[in-house]
Amino acid sequence: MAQFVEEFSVLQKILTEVQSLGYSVTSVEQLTPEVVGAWAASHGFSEVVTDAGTHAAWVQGSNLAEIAAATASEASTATTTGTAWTLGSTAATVAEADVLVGDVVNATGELVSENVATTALTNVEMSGLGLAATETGAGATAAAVTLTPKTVVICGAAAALGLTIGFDTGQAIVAEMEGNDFDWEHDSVGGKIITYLTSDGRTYLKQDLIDKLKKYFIEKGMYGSGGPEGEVVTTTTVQVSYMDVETFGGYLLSQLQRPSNFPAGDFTNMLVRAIDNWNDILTYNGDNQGDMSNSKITKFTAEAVWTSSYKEIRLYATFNNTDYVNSGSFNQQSGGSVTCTTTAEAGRAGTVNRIFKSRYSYPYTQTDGQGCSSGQITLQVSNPAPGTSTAEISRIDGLNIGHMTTPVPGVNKKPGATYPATNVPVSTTYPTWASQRKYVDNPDDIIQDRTKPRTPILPVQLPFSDPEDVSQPDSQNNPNPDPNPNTKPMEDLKPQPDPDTKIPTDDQGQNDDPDPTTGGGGSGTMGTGMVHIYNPTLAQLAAFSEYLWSGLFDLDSFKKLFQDPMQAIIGLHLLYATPTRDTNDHNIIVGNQNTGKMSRIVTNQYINIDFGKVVINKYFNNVCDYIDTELELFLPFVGFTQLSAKELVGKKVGLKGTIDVLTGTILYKVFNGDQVLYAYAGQCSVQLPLSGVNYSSTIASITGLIGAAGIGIATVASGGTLTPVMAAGGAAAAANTATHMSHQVQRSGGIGGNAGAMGPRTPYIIVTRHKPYNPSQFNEYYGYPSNIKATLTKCTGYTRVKDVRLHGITATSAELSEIEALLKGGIII
Amino acid sequence: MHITLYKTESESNRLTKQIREPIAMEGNLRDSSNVVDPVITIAITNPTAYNYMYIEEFGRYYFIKDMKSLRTGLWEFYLHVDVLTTYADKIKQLQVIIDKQESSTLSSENYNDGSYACKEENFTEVCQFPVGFSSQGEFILLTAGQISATA
Repeated sequence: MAQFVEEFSVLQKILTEVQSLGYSVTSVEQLTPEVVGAWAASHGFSEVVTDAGTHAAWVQGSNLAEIAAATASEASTATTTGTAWTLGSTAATVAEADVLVGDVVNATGELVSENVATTALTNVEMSGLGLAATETGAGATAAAVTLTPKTVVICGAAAALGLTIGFDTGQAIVAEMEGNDFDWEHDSVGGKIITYLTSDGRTYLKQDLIDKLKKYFIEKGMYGSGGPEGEVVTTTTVQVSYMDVETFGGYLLSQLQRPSNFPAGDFTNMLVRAIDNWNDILTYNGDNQGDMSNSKITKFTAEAVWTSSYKEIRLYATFNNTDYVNSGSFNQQSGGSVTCTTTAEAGRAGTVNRIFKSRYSYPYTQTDGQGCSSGQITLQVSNPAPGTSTAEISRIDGLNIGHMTTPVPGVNKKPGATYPATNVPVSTTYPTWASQRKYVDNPDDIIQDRTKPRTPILPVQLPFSDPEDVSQPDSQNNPNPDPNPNTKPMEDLKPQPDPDTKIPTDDQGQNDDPDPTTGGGGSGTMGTGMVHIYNPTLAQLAAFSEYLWSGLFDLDSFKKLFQDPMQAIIGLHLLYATPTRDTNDHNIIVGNQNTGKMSRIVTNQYINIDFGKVVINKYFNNVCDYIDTELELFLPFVGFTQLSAKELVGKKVGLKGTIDVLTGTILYKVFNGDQVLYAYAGQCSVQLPLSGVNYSSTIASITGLIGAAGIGIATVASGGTLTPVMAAGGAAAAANTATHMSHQVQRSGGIGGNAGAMGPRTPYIIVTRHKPYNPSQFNEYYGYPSNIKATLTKCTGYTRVKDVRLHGITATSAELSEIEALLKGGIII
Repeated sequence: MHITLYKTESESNRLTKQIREPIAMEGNLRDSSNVVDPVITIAITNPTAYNYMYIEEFGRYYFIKDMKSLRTGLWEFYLHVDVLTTYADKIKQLQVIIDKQESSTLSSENYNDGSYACKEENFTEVCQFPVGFSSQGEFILLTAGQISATA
């Protein structure tokens, strides 16, 4: 009741003031966003905007101050009266708490310290307008549980995480997230996000949500490559043997790198389709179109393009004589038509959903220039120009290849801000957020299980622009920001895993790729000072070898510590991944000798590789997708292993790996969403012998690997820990035997180390499905599986009953028995 | 007793039978009959084209299991009650756990009860991850020694 009175008084205040501004509104129900916006403007706010007429926001100076909502009935009359919603460089504040209006839950929430939290969300339902609750309870912080539009959350969270995002871009990002099935979990209510608003105007988000958003921003490439425009980030050389133009087009497509912000599943599917379409083009024989093998193509370009509105994979062919490319419509093999122009870069092909059938026209006379000579293709990753409107993310030219990574259009990094890192929780990146962390009972707990750990929430000024600003304690208003004597250190405040939960919790599974370094300081073994890890180029290695076998090596001095110089050279191996290394060369140290030979030095013992995600699509849309589908995962340097179709069909399967540069050990982790479902270890280094003894041991180790049964160490998550299970299938193989009694074929033995280097270097999943063998319209004869409770009047056709309680039928017992028998035998309704 | 003879082509397990060509007649219940499997006599010339009956006094529909000519113009009918059609309206209101259903709206196609059959013959699809290892190897040289070593 008190809340209603306060609501009414605030609205009444606004109503009175807008009437004095000349608006002919007579009741609070007539307070549209437009009218509220005018009221806000009269208080010095400017640039009032609305989002599709549902909410109003206004800006004072560079600060986005507040959001107001119209009731549902008023929304239709709202209009946009301002410019685009932007964020300034200063953290927003909510100065006038007494006029705080917002789209809040019609409920009271208390943000309290962990130990005294008792109640939180009750009577959760939306209302058009509401107020923050008054402060109640000792030690409690007055708060309202609010529902904030996703776009506002995205803009605010992005600002906190070092990005600036305009309102339109924020909307586009939200749309993209919805399209990618971003898991908002129970943070989303009615399309809005649960936020928590304290009486001092600070908005809190749940910690797991902002960690998720951070991860999403990074994965979408919003932080870009981060360097000055045009700076070459990496260069990779690919050897190309002679190919004809037909093969070369497909080859370029296959070499196309996935842009970091291009969804992995989409990229894979579109790439496969583009290559298929290219093959279609090569085999197509239209009436007035020639054979591709006779075309004279001087240049191919393959590119992947990601923008906020579309994604495409394209293949361009540049012809040296454009007269032979028809202008007009070309029939598609699969129906429809496209237009091919007579520009220098005609022949755009492979665009998903509208494939261009580029073709040399009839008649053709050119027969030369069909091939692309052998040589090198250079993949160059460089920083894009700021504000690039079209994100040409990945591009390979036949003769000159450029591979660009550009931030998402409309997203800019704030200069000087602290940017989050993939493997570091936001509570670590922004430590003062953790110090201001509040706890609230999980709304689910109130209904279900209050014994579960409470969800920590982190302060985020929504919207605000600088995470450092909110991280500073407000010494005037909050001299003792955490008066609770029971406050625990940050680490202790992490949610504790539910002992009954078998799936890893966030800290176990979602904060993946933890630095395996132990003991603190340095990077793994390197921090001990006992071992040096170098990453020499071939020339540097040759120079070092020359030094070792020259008279320059001070053997006498060396022998004070070692009997043999080779004892100080622990090993030499090849890794097919780029380690993190210092940009400067360093002297190579051997024992107590500074050889004076230079090499790049590895600065992190571990390499994290994100192999991306693939989607295991449902094929039959029935139980056959699970019981008759087998998944086999090929992992380079490990081999094949079985995955459970029941766990992964219809899901996005992610794969990440961590390589120990020191030993060459690789640990693969298979994800479904954020959960690690499988882990496999292997050996991905190719040992290079340094001496005769060393060579013998290398051969012995390889032989041992080949002879070893099984494929590394397969583990599954169980009870929060990784426990070994049978390799090469294990439980999945057993399940398969139960359903089909078929022989399990092991596709490979252990192929780690040197053998692995000769195998495929890209992981893949083989999906094996059995062909269905159901009679046509079998459902009319024995029905689809059901196991559903229903009234028979809702059933049609063949119906077989599993169980029934005969009630309401006045019949003899013999008749009732017969009715039951007939129902269980199947009747036709 | 009032009886009506019908012809029906409906399946015996169909809840509501499609009946046609009714003939209303009078019949007599034989001694020692019961309501589930009654035996009645009817004066009729040739009833062999009929296979279904309704007995008004019993309020039940019956399958004609067999019929026997006692003499010219008098037939004996051996019946069995059709509980489905007789109690169709009540049966439709029953709450049941459905085991199988012809309609997909009340089915759970992801529920495995052995309905779906597959051949041992299979086909495969390969889903390649977008990122792989580098094609070029990186040399890793490991040495032991002191950081402060001098030339």
